[in-house]
Amino acid sequence: MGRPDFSPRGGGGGGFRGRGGGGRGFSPGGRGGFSQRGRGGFSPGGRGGFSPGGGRGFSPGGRGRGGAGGGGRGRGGGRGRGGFRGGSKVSVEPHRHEGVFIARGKEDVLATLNMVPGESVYGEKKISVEEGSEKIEYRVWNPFRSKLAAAIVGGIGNIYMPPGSKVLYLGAANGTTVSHVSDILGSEGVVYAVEFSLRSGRDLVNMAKKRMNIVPIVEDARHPHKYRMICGMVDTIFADVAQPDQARIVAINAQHFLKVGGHYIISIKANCIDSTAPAEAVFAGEIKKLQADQLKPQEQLTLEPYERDHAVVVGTYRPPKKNKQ
Amino acid sequence: MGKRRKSHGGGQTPGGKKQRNVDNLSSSLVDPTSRGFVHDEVDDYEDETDMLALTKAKKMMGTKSFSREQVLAIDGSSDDEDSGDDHDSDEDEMFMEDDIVDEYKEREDDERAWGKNKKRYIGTDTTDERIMKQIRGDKEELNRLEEEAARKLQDRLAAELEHLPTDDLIPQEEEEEKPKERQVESSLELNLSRLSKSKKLQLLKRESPEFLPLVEDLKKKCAELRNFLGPLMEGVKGDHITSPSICQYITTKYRLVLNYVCTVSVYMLIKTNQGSTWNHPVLGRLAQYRQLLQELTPCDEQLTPQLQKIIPDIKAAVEASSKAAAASTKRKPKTLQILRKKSKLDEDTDVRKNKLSQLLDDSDLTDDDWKQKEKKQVLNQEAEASSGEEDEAKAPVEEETGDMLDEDGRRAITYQISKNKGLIPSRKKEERNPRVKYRRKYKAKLKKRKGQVREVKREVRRYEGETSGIKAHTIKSTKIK
Repeated sequence: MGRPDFSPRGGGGGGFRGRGGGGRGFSPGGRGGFSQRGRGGFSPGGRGGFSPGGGRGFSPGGRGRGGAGGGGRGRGGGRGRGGFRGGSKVSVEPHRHEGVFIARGKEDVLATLNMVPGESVYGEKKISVEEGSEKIEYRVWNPFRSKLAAAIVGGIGNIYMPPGSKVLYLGAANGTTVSHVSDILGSEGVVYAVEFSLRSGRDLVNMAKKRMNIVPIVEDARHPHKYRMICGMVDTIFADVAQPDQARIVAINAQHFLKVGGHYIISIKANCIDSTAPAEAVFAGEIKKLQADQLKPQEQLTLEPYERDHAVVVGTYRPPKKNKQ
Repeated sequence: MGKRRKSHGGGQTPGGKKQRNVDNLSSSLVDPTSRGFVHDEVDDYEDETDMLALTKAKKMMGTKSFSREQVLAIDGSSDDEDSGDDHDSDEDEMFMEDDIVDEYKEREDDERAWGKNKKRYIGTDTTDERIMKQIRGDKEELNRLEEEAARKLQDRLAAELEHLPTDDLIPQEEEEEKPKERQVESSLELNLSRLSKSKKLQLLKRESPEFLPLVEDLKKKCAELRNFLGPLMEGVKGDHITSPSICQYITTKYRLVLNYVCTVSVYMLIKTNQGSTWNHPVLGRLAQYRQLLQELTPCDEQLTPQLQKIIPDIKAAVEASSKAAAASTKRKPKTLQILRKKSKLDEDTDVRKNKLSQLLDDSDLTDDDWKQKEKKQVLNQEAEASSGEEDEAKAPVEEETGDMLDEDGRRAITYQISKNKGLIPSRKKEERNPRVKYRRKYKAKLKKRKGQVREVKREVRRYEGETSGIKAHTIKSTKIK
């Protein structure tokens, strides 16, 4: 999550430029190719003039669809390969978790109702179903890309993200998962997506421009007081920060923004915390830390087929005390 | 008995003790080297008791006057000695439940009876008394006791043996004297080395009266085989005797005698090695053969004189033919030889069965005799088939006579012998190769592990969905309490 090696023009160092400076500062991110056409006016200038570092496109962290796709253009031409083409019969049914759907075709996939029909955020496939005159579009949710999706496919008990709730998303990165969370929450809900990396933040902000329920915050999640004015009280915190002190980060954010009795979902990457210790021990240690911070863990799930040595822990913040009688 | 001695010893000590104590008191305070300077009254007392015990033991070692008496009749002696002495009777209590003399006499009659006392039947021979005696070094006495008991037992058994009617134990009825043998042997084996030769012979006669006659019989039968039956058999083999009934007779007799001799030698072998043959199956077999031989005697009486006359002729014929055969075998190929032998064997067996009826006509014997004989033979065969021990040894020999023969006329070794695998369990084919076995094992384990731990997959191709489907209602997370 460290700062990118090129220094962003202007005051990149002062993290909280997020929204205010957004109009100017972050717009060049559009060049990355997620949202080219709509904002045509911006892009040409931004694109040509931008630094060599920018030329590398939006591949950081391997999250993007990779250079092969030709800068996101491939999204449009997504057809031609892949599973759900050519009229294969697909039926969509709701998942146990509200807002999540299962598209059953030749193979089952997780999907969310696309908030912005016709738009694909990171080149994922879309499934459109016609109900009468209405056309409903679903976006396929790839568990290899999203830890939340991996947890859901793996069979997590509860994600505590019903439609209409408010979610604080720490470590939003390019916003792939955030887009799906925003789909789940719907127009009533809000997702505050915090990402410190400027480059990822640009993608995030661009994505947020199309989805009205996403509040992008390009800030260090270790300092919640810097975005305390933006973020309100939330029902759930999702953390995928992959930092050694992530338990503390979640705890601080919970103290600031999480309502009493709210929930948190934290994804633990054992390698990021202690690469020498065995994964199980690391998970256990993290759980201990969480317990110390009044974040009572409820369940744990390893993301085995999709990620190595990852675990997702779901818990409650300051749970109401049970009556002994 | 201890008490008397104790009181005696006790009488001595007090005086000496007091004296010494006075000495100690006077001297110890002044003289540091004296005993009283270190030792106090308690030490003195300890020493005193030690001394007492030592003297007591010495006295007991010295007095052996009553020990013999004690052993022979424990009850009586202890009664005499311990009248009124409660302390020492503890040890002997279980041996003297009844003090009354009458009862004692009654009991004396049957030494072997163990009595009513329960304790005697439970536990071992190592009583406290014995242990005490061992500690005191009375091993000699114990040994003597044991020896005496053994001798008694021996005498008793010998006496029993003398009552037996040993004279009528002729070899024909060996089966009946088996149980007697057992008793004698079990008791008398120990002393064999000490006896002189004549006594040994006597013993042998008494022990197994059938033995010497059997030896004689064996010699006789061997001679008969060599001089009479052997040549005749050769004649039969060489087709020099034409009459089928006589052939039949000769082969039967020959085989019977051979078997008999074999059995007798087995019997002797067992006798020399183990000593006791009383319950060995060979005895039964022996009796069987003797009976069969006896049944043949009428035939023998009739035919022997005739056969004796033929023998020289047959010998000559056999020699002539053997020379011719020796000349011919050199040219004949091996297979032919084998064929010839085989055919001969077949003929033998066929002839035996077909021509029994002819035999009946030829001989002057009564029908009953022959039928009986036939029955016996059948029985014999059955018995052989059922009791596999000896037959197993014979059977392969008979079978393999038809096998491949070497150039020297010896049998070739079998597959089993040539492989020399010993006793090995039969295994599955895949288990014969350890490497393959482990490879299979590993594969199976891998499959099992797939169900236990999910391997991490890479998104190599574009994600198409879950091949195994998504179940909306399964929860696989672990609860944390």
